[in-house]
Amino acid sequence: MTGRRATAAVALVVLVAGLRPESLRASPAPGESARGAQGTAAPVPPTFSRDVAPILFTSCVPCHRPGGVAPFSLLTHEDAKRRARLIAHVTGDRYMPPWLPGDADVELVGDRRLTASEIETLARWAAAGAPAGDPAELPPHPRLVEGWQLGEPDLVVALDEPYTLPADAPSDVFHNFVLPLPVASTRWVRAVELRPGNPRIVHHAVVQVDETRGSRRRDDREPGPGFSGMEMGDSHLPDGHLVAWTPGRVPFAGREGMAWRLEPGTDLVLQLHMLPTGKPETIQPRVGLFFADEPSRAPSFTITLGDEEIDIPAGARDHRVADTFELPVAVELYAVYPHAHYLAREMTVTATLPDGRDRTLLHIPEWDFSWQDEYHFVPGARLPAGTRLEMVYSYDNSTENPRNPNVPPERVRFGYRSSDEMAFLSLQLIMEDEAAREALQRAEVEKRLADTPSSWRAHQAMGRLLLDEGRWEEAVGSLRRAAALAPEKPSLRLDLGRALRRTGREDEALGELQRAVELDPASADALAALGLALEARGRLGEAVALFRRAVDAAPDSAGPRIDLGMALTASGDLEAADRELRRALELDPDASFAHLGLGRVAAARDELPEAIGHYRRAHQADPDNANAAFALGTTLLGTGRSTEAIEPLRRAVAAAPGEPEGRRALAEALLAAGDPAAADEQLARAAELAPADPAIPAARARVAQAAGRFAEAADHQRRVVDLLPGDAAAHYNLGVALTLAGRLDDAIEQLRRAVATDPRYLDALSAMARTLADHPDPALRRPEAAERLAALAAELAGGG
Amino acid sequence: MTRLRYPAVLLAAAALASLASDALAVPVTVRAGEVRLDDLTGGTVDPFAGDAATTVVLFVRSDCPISNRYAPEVRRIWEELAPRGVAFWLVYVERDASAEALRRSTTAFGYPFPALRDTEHELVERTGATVTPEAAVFDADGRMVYRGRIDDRWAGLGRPRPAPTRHDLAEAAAAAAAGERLGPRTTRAIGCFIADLE
Repeated sequence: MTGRRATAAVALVVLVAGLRPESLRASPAPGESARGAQGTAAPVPPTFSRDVAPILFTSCVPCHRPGGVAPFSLLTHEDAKRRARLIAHVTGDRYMPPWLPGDADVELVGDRRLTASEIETLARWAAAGAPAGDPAELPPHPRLVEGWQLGEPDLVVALDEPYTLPADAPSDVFHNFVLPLPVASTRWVRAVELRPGNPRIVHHAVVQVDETRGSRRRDDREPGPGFSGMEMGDSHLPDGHLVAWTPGRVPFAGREGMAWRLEPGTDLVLQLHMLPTGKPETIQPRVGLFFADEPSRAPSFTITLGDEEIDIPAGARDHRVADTFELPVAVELYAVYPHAHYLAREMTVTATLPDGRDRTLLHIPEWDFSWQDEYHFVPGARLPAGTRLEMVYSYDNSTENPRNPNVPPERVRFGYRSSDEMAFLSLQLIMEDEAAREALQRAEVEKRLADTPSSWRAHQAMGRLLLDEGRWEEAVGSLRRAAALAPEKPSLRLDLGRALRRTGREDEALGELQRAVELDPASADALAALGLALEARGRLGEAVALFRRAVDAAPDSAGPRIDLGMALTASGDLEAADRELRRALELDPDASFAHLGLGRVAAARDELPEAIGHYRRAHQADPDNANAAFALGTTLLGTGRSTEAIEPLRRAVAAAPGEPEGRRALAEALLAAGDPAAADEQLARAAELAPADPAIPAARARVAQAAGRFAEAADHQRRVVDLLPGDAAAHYNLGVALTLAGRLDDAIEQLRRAVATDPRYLDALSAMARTLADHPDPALRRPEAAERLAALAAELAGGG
Repeated sequence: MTRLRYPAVLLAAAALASLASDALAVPVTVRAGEVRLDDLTGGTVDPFAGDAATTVVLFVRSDCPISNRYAPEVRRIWEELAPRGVAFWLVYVERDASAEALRRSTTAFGYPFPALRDTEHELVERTGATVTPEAAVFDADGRMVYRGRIDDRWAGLGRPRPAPTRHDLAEAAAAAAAGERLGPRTTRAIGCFIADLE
């Protein structure tokens, strides 16, 4: 069987390479072609040079080399010979090379498994006494990259002081290190590489990020660097990306368009899974980040399947935990991270396609917590909408399982300690577009809520989703339910406060945000949110004080400084505002709002050209920042540069289509640029959005009048009068419009009212009468009307 | 090229017959004057020449990770049993390491008792030890009462238990030191194969 396969393989190679068959038979694969060709001949013992070195160089030496991450080298014959039986043993039971997944219907990047014939070769070589063979047949030494495997990183962060792992530490140590990431502006991270510093003890590493200061505070509570345990505190997956590091695996170099967003002020949380060596070991890991030139383009989302209510009876041999998820949209598989502790034995992840066919996505025949890892799928593994994903994990809580932490076995339930159990499967998926991402996210949150209706986290996730979708009232409902389940969670109070503000319930919002600050007085987010709420109520002094506290809590974040700068501008302390906003720009040169704030400072100092410069930078840094676009547009308009104002005002309208102010300003610019039709279109929309704003019909009247549509202009002016009854100017303008529309009797009534309300309009009336008599524009010349208005003016003057 | 993916354990097993736990068919006795081993300072030592009631010989290899990881546990056992008259000898089985390198290893891993070298595998063969770390316990008459693992922490290579459930070496040595006359017992030790050094 093996022989026939080998012969076929030889024939294929011959065909492809055009070699003569003899030249191949000259160096037969051990026991394969020789045995296959002869049938009865005794197998030729494999030698190191010819048969073993090629396997070791490819699959073992990347770790097992001088100075490598593995505990011994297998580079030379001498090295390998003194481990020959060990090699045969650990490859025979597939403990080495470490790679948990077995066969599946999709391929994984960097599959480390040996083939059956490679394993056989190693066993026969050991049994034959590990012969060296002819050194001339040795393959070239593998190219071993020293230092960073992916090249020089764009950013390297390191632990300040070394961490010491004691000699007699328990078999698995989990420790989390908090490393601030000093980036001045938003970056896109495509790959992460770890250099553990002491390669011998690090078994696996997971990288998450934390924008809050929660992880730092946790670090501060424990002596020495970092904090211990499997739970990674307040950190989370960066942009939903699974980032892990395993000794000996070439770090995942990332994929085009799949970078994750890194904001200034973010901490990296590095969890190291370490194994003691028998003597004290110090470690001072370094993490290298590789940036992408362009922002990530492909929308991706990580769904999690699992069960938080695991309950495994003592002695159970095959306890199953399962979960399913139906994909609402088509996806491509990107990465997978299975997670369980010591009792898990077998893991299977299956996709049932809409047509009923099953596809195995991941199968781990023998789970080993020590070699947990994340895996990336070879590109192109797609699943259609309607595919049902299922994970089934099997747990062995009997004495048969040597890894069982309890002897004798005990009932084990869900938890984060290593003696508890977990059942999670994170699948990172790529979608067609943002809408598909949102659909997937919604389906995931709905599933979580259905699975764990008493979980405050599930309700919070739903609340945040509804906030993103602009469904403020429903968001308030979800967040209230979450807060009822977990009244002391500051993040819930914060979310709830923000949601309430969106619904206009400022009083309630203020209460929630004050509670959030009480529960976590060091949370910059909570302090800033409370500051904004107070600012909105005009309590500027209190707002400034809170923003100052937020700055103290997160001195490296631009956000709170911008809030502070804006509030200082509003309160007239321009010098202090200028200082804070410039510091914010040092922290984040692309911070659109910092430029906007500096523009406001300049405008408040009447330095309009400088203000326009800042507004322009704010607009360029983020064209979707409606406030920046509006400020730029209106300032240009105010300085007579109406044509230039059109572009930013269009962006302002596009970014905030529900704001009438932007449309009004855009209409004004369009009108000045000679496009009354487009101007009126904007004004019509603005009137729908703000029906009680008299400035809008007034503007529409000007447009209609300029176009010679006097009757329409009169209608708009009538609307102004309806909104501002008793306003002299409104009556006067309506009178003018009616005069031009030829409705002189109605006009006289309005003009009478204007003068009655404000006698100064008598002069205006006289002036108008003179103008109408011989207006240069024939369309505006009304000799008869001029006579009657002059008479009216005389009458009113006499009466007055 | 498609990979052939099924386990090849059967073939590997042939090379590993020595792994199987064997009954001690013939009683082993080592008396004073029969074995002399090099120490790490240029001298030779007969580990059975003293008047210890119980002697523990621990076969180790300085480049064996499992062997090294046991150092703290070995130290604990020594602290418990040395006061009860148990003599401990560390026996390096590698042939090619320099005495200097072994001295450094002994210091780094904090072994608190003297180290010897069995470069000719004389004591290895007498005891039937096959892996490192593996221990042998001798009573006052030089009869080997135990040979095998230190404890059952390792269920197999790559299969450690969170904590051992059987402390075979400590129990055997304590019983021998207490004068209990036990039948010889062996267990299967997990670690690096001494035969790889032949």
